[in-house]
Amino acid sequence: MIPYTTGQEWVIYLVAIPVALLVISGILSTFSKSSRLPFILTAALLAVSAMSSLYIAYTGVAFPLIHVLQVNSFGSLLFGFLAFGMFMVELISYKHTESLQHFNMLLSFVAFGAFLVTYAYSMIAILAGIETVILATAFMILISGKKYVEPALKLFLLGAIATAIFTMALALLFPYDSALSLTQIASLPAGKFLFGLSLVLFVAALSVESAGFPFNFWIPDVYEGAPGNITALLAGVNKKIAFIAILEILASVFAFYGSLGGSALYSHVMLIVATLTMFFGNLAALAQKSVKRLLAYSSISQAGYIFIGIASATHLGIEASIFYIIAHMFMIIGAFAIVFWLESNNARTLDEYSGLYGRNSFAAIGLTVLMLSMAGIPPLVGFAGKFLLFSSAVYANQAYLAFIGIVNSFISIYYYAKVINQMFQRKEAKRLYLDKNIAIVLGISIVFVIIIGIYPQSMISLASAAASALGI
Amino acid sequence: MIPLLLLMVALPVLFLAMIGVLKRYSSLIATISSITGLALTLAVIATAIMGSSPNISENYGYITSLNIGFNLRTNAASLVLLLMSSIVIFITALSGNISKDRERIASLLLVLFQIGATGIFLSGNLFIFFIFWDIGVIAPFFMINVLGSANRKTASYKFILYEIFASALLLFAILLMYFYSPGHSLSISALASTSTMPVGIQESIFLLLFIAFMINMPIFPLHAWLPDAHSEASTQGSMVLSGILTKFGGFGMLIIFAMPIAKSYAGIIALLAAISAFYAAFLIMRQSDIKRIVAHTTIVEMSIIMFAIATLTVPGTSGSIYGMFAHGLAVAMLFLAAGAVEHIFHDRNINILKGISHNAKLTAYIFLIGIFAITGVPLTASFIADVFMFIGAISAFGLFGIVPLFSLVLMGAFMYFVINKSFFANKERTSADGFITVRQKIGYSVLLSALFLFGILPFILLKLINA
Repeated sequence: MIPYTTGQEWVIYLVAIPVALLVISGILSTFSKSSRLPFILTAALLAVSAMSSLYIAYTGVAFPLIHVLQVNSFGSLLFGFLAFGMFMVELISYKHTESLQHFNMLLSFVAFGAFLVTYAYSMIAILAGIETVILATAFMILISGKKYVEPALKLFLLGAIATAIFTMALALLFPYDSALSLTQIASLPAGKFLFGLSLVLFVAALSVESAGFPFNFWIPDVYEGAPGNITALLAGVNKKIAFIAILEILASVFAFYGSLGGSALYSHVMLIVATLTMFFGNLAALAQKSVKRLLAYSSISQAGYIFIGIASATHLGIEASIFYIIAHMFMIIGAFAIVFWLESNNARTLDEYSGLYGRNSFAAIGLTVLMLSMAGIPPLVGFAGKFLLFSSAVYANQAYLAFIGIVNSFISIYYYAKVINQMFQRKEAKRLYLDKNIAIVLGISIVFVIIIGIYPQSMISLASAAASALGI
Repeated sequence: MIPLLLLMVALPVLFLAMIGVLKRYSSLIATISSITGLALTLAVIATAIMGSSPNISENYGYITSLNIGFNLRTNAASLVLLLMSSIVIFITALSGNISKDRERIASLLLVLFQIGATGIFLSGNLFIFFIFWDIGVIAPFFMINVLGSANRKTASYKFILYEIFASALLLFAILLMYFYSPGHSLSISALASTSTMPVGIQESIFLLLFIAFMINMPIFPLHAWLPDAHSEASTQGSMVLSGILTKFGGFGMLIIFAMPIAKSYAGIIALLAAISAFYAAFLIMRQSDIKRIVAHTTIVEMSIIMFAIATLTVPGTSGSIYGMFAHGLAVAMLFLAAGAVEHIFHDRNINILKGISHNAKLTAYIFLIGIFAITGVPLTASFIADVFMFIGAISAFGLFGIVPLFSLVLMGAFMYFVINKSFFANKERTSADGFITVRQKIGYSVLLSALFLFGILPFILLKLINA
């Protein structure tokens, strides 16, 4: 934990006011007849809160707020990027969403939930934030149309179960720290197996949203069933929020709990989760015909890579996870933006993607770059992230985990190449026009993927500062 | 001081962006980019000769928190290979795309490949070596997948799976190296002083890198991607694939055979290389596709180069560098001619093609001289290379060292047979439906004169190699 700074508490208003305004304007926008004004307001407020949060991360101030929230460079950095991700989702949703007003309201709730989780100082805030995010997203899917009832219900039920498990885990910790704050529990009695149970329950609850292995079977169904823009939100923002919660809880509360062979207990739990998640995602993705489903499985396997960094339980590992969380957010939102756009043009399966290069070369090249980045081909950002993750595994004496990760990257090439292969088929078909908003989002992702891929040092420094703020 | 090495890598990026932005002139921009590359290479070589040392280095900060720099450096081998690759890329850009097929994407991929190839030969640490390696692999993947001929999808798939497998091994070796080397140095020159590491780690690093480079070169039994990839790629793709991409592996072998541990594996690797050379030479007999025949000669030649590197002698190593130089030029010329045959006759099958020398005289004779050049006939650059390589082999393995020479003889014999059957047998004649332009003629003449220049005046390069 880096020491708190004083005298600059006012900077929190830079974020808190835009977020509050966002929620208010979200609620008010349901009364608006046109969707244009709410769209502009929401997008602008999301952009402003992203910028100001990143500014706070840049200044590096840290201080507590009313015992529930705190400001530090971890929270502000990640909230900045999450808000930016929501901004991108808002852009692609415009014109393609039936009731954008209601969508905006729910998106503002998601933003508020993300704010609570990223700036949390108490685990109660994390619980409240995650609950808000899941509920809002489930309703978002529900209001999209009649055929979306099933994925909405699935998400809602699993979210409810996850919350119940999370609460149980909190209850086990409550006798020892009634504030449930994100610090190491001071009076940690040695050998208490209840803490181990609590740790496992936390991991289970958060694995539901972050796609950790035994709890991720719902992911392909819901990702495929939901409309593309909400899938982008689920994979780009919701999943990352769960990861942030995992990082906060494991690296702060359980940092030194249950040392086994020199490393913390959570490292051993994460190691198993990472291995199984990677193999499950990659092997299942090999057999997919629908591109959306394929990307859903790919996003599961990408979650596995992030778990590698958490498993190493070192500064470098947490730093690498933060780097990859941000990198993957850009990649997956860009990819699902194209999927969403093609969905509205009735192209879903691999066969229907064939000849995309002839129909719209920018979209095809864009998706190719994003997929190569996810596969970890240099000089794209996916490679920089994977290099950090794998080297953190080697550093933590887990070279076998790095090896498993590399094997999985190799497997993933097969299905990414399958999509790329289809897109560059020669075929006569009429041209498709990319909407301006989707083109902008795709452009932003590609620029991020290439620029940060070629020169990753700036992002690495930010991630490193964020990891230090977690106290590791 | 002008940062020449950085410019060599950075300028093509600029040209790449230009092709991306401008809708027309893409072929011209690619040619300009390759000419710039050639000019810069010559400038670097001039600097090296004037400074009487081939070692030039430039260091920039890259990922400072992990102590990884953007280090560029040259040595004798890299200067020679840079010269070869910039000549080949120049000719590929100028005359490779005979039928003017989708020029924009073809030029884009060629410039991308130029970045990868230049970067690999210049890289000073394994991290940026890996980055440029993958750039250099992805560009040919699209040259096959998008621009290739009928079987391109299967071929490109095979290619990418083999090459990414190689790069996965490479990455794992880099991670091991990073963790175990003193001061977390990934510098390529640090590989020569790895003897302080535990023996098991040294062996792992060596074998991982060896298999990765072996796939790329390629050596039997990991060569299966090459015939398909080379025959299905566009003419430009085939030229850079066999001319330059296979040399990535050769260059990597030169690097890892500087490791102290290499001595204990040299004998068995030499045996494997010899088997590989004979195996590929016999495979030529069964081929009927001109491009496939040329592709198999690449395996033979690269196996012999591997054999020479594994001798661990000075003449063997110099010969292998010279051999890669000569082979790159010769095979690019063969593929250029093969592409011209396909363009003129719309077929590549030697059982169907008849009397090529009548309807496409220049191309037929260029192909013949290409075969001379690749089998090591005196006055061509390959002859000098063969002399050096087998001197090294004899000094290392005694008279057994001469055995792989017969694979070259076999290869030559099979290829003359092919030539006789479809190029010079004149009774029936396939009708010609196309012609080559002045661009191809320039391409032929540049490659031809380079082959003979460095065959007749070998001391130009030898001075650089032996320095």
